[in-house]
This record gives sequence, C-alpha cells and structure tokens, in this order.
Amino acid sequence: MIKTSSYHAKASQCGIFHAVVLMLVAMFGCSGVVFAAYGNVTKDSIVDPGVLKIDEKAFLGEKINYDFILQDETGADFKLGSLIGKPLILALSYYTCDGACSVINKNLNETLKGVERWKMGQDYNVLTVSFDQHDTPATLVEFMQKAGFSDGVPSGWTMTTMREKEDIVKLTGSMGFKFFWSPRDALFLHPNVYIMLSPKGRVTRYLYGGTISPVDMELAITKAMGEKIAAANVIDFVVGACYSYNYKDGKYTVNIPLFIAAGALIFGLLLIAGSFSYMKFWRVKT
Amino acid sequence: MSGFMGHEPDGRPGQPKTVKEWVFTLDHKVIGVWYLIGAIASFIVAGLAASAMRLELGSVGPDITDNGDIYNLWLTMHGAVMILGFQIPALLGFVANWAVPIMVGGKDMAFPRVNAMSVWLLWSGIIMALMNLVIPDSYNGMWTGYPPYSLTDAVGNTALYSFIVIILGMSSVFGAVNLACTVAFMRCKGMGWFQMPLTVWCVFTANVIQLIFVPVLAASVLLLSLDKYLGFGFYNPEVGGDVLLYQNLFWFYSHPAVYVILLPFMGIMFEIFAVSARNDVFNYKATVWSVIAFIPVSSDVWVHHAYVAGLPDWLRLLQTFTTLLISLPFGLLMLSLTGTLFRGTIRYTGPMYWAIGAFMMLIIGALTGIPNALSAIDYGISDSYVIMSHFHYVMAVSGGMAIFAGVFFWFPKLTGRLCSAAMTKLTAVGFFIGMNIVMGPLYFAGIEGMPRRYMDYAMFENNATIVDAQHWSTIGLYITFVSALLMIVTWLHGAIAGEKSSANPWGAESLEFTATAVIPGQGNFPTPVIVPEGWHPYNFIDNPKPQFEPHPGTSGHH
Repeated sequence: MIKTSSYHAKASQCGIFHAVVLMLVAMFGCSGVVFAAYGNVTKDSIVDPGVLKIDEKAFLGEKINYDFILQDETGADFKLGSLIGKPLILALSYYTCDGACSVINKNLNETLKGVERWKMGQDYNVLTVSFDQHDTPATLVEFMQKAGFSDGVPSGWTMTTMREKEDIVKLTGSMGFKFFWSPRDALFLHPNVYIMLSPKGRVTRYLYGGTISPVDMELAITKAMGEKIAAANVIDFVVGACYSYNYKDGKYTVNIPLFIAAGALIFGLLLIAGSFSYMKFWRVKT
Repeated sequence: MSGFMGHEPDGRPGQPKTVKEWVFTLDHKVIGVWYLIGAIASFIVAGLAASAMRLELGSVGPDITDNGDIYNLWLTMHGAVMILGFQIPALLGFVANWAVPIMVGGKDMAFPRVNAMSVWLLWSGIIMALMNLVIPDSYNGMWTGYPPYSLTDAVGNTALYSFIVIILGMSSVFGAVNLACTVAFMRCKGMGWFQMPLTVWCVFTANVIQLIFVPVLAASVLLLSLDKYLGFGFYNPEVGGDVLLYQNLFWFYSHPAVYVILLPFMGIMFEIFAVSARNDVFNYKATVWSVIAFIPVSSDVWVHHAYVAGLPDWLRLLQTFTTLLISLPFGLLMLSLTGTLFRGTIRYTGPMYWAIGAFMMLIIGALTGIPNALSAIDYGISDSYVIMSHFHYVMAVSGGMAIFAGVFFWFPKLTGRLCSAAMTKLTAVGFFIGMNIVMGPLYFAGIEGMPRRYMDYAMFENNATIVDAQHWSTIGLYITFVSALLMIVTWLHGAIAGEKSSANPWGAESLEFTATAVIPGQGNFPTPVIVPEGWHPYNFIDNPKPQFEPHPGTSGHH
C-alpha cells in the first residue's frame, strides 16, 4: 500500500521505484493517485494496484451475465446474448481514454490478422464494450477513429456501449473486471485484458498486456471452442490439449510432460512387441 | 515350510535349502512365495496404518494423535502400501508367478532371471516404503503425489516417493513382459487360448494393461521430482507449469490400475466358484472377451477423476458414458460368476467362504459405483466418504478377500498341508462382517458431507449420522483386526501342523492340481505335459486326463 504523499516523493528519488510505477502505468493503462468511488472498486486515498487484479480462481469457468442490451455506433440496440454461441473475445474499454484503450483495440486487430486457423465472424466474435456510463454512440465513433477503425470494424467485431448504464457493473462484475475513476487524473484505472468467453458464455481465459501473439490468441480461441466439440475440430481440441496456459509468462506453452508420457506409452507398447518378437522369432525356434 | 518344494519321483531338485538358494532362486514358485511374503508383510503394515487412522477417527477430537503430519503419514502408508505393496504384488506377483506358469502347463516363466530381478525390485521398494516410517522427512503426500502439495517442503521426501514408484514400476513392467510371454509362448502342448483357466486370462490381461500404462506413471512421477528439486516447473503453476496435467497423467495409469487389481482377483473368484460349484464357468468365451475388453475400455476412463476440475460439459458427458461403459464387461463377469454358481452343487469350502465374501463386497461396491460415474451426482459427492467407501468395497476389501481366498485355495500346493476349515470359514465371516461395519456406515457419513482424508470431524460434531458412523466404523475395526490376525495364525498353524493334503484337495481340473505332485517340484511337471483334445479347466464331468511326453532319455514312465 502506497500513501499518496510518499508516492511522489519516492518516485522522484528512486529510479527503480519509478520503473515500477511505469510498469504499473503500462499494466493498468493509466497512472496517478486516485480518490474515487466508481465501478466495482471503492477507493479513497490509497492506491493499491492489487485491487484491480482479477480473481481468476473465482471467475475462470464461470458463466457471465449476458442478458443485456448493447448499442452500436449507429445507436442500434442488440442483445449481448446474440454474440454468444461462438467464442467471444471481449475487450472492455472506455472511449474517452487517451491511453491504452485505443492501443489494446488496435493491437487486438493486428493479433487477429495473424490468426489463420479461425475466421473472425465465422468461428468467433469480438466485442469491445465501454464500461464508462458517459460513453455514447458519438464518443464511440470518435474512439473508432482513434483506434484505427475509420472504415469500420472488421466483420465479426462489434463496438458498443451499454444501453442501461446500471448494467455496466453487472456485466463487468460477472467476469471479475474491476475499474475505477480517478477524478484527479480524469481517467479510469482498469486492467488491460482480453477476456475470452466460451460458446456458452463461460470465462475461459484472461489474456493480459494488450500484446498477445497470434499463436496464443489462436490457442485461446481453440480452447474456448473446446466447450462445443464437433467432428471438424476434434484435431484442434487434441492440439489445444498439448498446450497449457503458463501463468508466469502469460502465454501458452507446450505440455512437455504430455510428450514424455506419450513416449513412455510407446515404450510400453514396444516392450510388448519386442518381447513377443523375441519369443516368437528367436527363442522358441532356438 | 518343511517339504515346501518337494521332490518329484525322478529326483529332480526340490526345495531350496539354504538362504543363498532361496535368495538366488530362479524357480517361479519360490519367487511367487517371495512375492506373497512381501505382500502379506505390506498388508500388515498398511493394515496397522489403517487401524491407527480408524482409532483416531473413533471420536471427535484427538484420540491417539493431534499431529496432522503423523496422520497424513498413516494415510499415505495405508493407501500406497496396500495398493503398490499388497494387492498388485499379491495378484501380479504371487498369483502370476506361482500359479499361472503351472496352470498353462509351463515349466517356468519365460525369463526366469528377469523374474528374479522383478521380485527383488519389489522388495527394494517395500523396504524403502518402510523406511518412510522412520526417516526424518517422511513423505506424507498420499499415493497420488498431487502437486502443488508434493512440490512443497511440508510434504517431506518427494524423491523417495518418486523413486519407490519407479522401482515398483520397473518391477511391474519386467514382470508383465515375463508373464505375457509365458502365457503366449510357454503353454503346454494342446492348450489353446480358449482352454486357459480364467485366472490366466485375467492375469494376462492385467499385465498387458500394466505394460501399456505403468511407464506413463513412472515418467510422470520422475518429472515431479525434477520439478521439486531442480525447478523444472512442469507441474508448478508458480513457474509456469500445469497442475492439472499431473492429475491427468497420474489417473491415466492409476484408474486402469483398478482393473489391474480387479481382473486377477475376479480370476481367483472364477477358479474357486467353478471348482466349488462343480460347474463350467458360465459363458466361458464371452467371459474371456469381456476380460479382454477391459484393455481398450479402461484406457478412457481416467478423466472421471477430474469431473470437478473444470471440464467442458461434452467431455463430462463422454466420460460418464465411457465410465458406465466399463459396467458392460464388468457386468458380464458378474453374470458369469453368478451363472457359474447356478445349478451347481456348491461345496462351501474355506476358500469358497472367502470368495463369496469377495463377491458380495463386489456387488455392493459396484452398485454404489454407478451413481459416482454420473458427473452430475459426482459433483456433490466428490472427495467425500461415499467415494472412499465405494472403492474400499469394490477394490480394496473385495480384492483383499479374493486374494486371501486364493491363498487358502493354493495353500495345500504351497505347503502340502491344509488350513483348519473351521478357522478359515470363521475368519472369512468375521472379516466380512467387520469390514461391512467399518465401511457400510461411512457411505451415510459421506452423503452427509464428510470429506475424505480429514483427521477430525469437529465441524460435524452435531451431525449424529456422521458421529455414529465413525463410532460404528471403529467398532468394525476391532472385528476385522481380530479376524485378520486369526487368519494369519490359521496360515501359520496350517503350514506347521495342518492336516496333510492330497495333490488335489478341492477336486479341481486345472493342471496345478491334476498334473503335479502335492507340492510341485522344480520344472513343475515330471515330463512335459500335454492336454488332450477336449480338455478344459472347468470340465468337471468327463475331462480327459492330462498326458505326459516321455522325458528325453528316460523311459517316460509316470
């Protein structure tokens, strides 16, 4: 816990501490000390980045609440539930954000261009939704320009605001996403995270940092898709099982023990074949 | 053990006389006895550990210890030693080594030296497991060795656990290669695959399962130690590993291991049921195919151990299906056992008492297993006493009773003497009643929410069902303990002063009873045995007698 007054003093004196602060800035997309109460977190005068941390143990595997009405940039209403049924990548942002929000949407677009196995709109959907109750279709249009979507978002990607503002907390709360407003810095503090939802609306992965490799994104989609198996993606399911999410590095890594175990399994089968061959072709004859 | 190996009329070598001969023996029967001694010793140690736990659970609060580490040590020693030191060695060691080669008319195992290595590897494992009771950093992480607990210092010596599992795994794999080759290539002339006793089929199939799956377990626990001591991070989430991966790999072997135990002990039951009922095994060929079906079906059952670990719905449904699917071959075996008794002229011998007890325990255990297989129900009872009671009925107690039935059944061929019939029956009844009192009430405690592995239940102090169940269970322990003790006394008395047995005291038709001396000598048969056409191990009416090939260079008399 860092007290407001000592925070600035130490940050100016200590390079390492400054680096830590910058890291936190990068992580949460915003900076500063806050005195606010908004979103899912109520804070007074103390900054503890830990309060923004998503409690993954509690929310991974949980179904989100998707009984809400969203509004796109034209102001047209549609149900969040209409996007469920395929894996859904959720980017929670706010549209007056000068910092990370446009970057994470831009980066997501670049990442998804590298995903070859799955086609956006056909195999999965993407949703950017604002958690700022002041956002409107008008601020959304401005944001789209900033985020590099002047010509509109790709097919399968929807950018929205919530129609009923009180639903914001219900939606974000159902997936453990926390944010709060800092009036002093006039910005929201929030985690930069892509939330992967399964076809049934369960949280299957939180991908942090805003720069996810296409391979990791593809695996996250594959794993989310594993909730609804079909003949066409059995092999994908098997491939997905060969990787596990590495919480330390924030990416998927190959399950080495699985391959060692497969080798051991083959060793057992070879032992049967070898001993039978020995008995049949050599020992019994001799 | 006087006269243990006996002498055949042609004067071939018989019983080992010196310690050196006992230790360096290559005779499959002596090796089988070494397995049996190791298994019984393990049973005693693991049984004492179980007794200590049960006494501790007799009432709310500390009874004989308040040290959780000590309780965990008992729990670990009970589970690991019962499975890896008692049941598997008794079935795939003693029965596979002592009985199977004779039952198929072979003179020994295919690879006698490998066989000797297997048994001494087992003994090394057992001795190391016993060392766990006295070393300062005893391993207390259960036989499952689940990370992340097994990667902590609190668990004790994970390396010892890994090493024991690998040593026992090597013993099992070498033994399995040997047994499979023995059955496939050492059968006597005239014995086709469908003329083999069901014990042989069951042990053979169990060994094939061992060969396929044991190397996976050995590799998995090796990685566990690499994780803990060298920081590889295969399973440790803190350094990027996947903790659930170990759970999957462990049960990939360890659920099939249930059938590695189940099949051979059901094989013993088939033998005793058929001989006691003087009846052909009902639907012999279908029974054999059911036994073989366990190989593929058992390979896709392990995931039900992860029902509550966040699986997709379709996978839980699929695994519910495959878990229930194993009921088909198992159900056929149970039908076959029942059909074997049907219209038989049942003789209630001592071994038959133990086998019937095993059969009844198996029925209760199997029926209570069906709800566990349903993932929706398992959500509510996972890791509760319901699961613990289920596997004690279906595998531990029924398996133990069947093993003891087998020991009593082959006892005359081991010692040349008979155990007291009255004591055999009395101990069987006592063990059966005792274990039902131990385990039966715990089902109800489990339904009330009593979790497994807890050393106390103060949180359920006001739940009369749980408190009463624990109380009765402890009373059952006394009955079981006395019965088990008397059973061992009965063996010792039988071996030293029991009535002398004939070569075939039960009137069996399989070769170990019909084609050998009272105590088979080295090489088992005086000359190579031939089974005539139409011979069958369960034809109790008009079976043609086994023939013997003249021994090269002799007149060939018999």
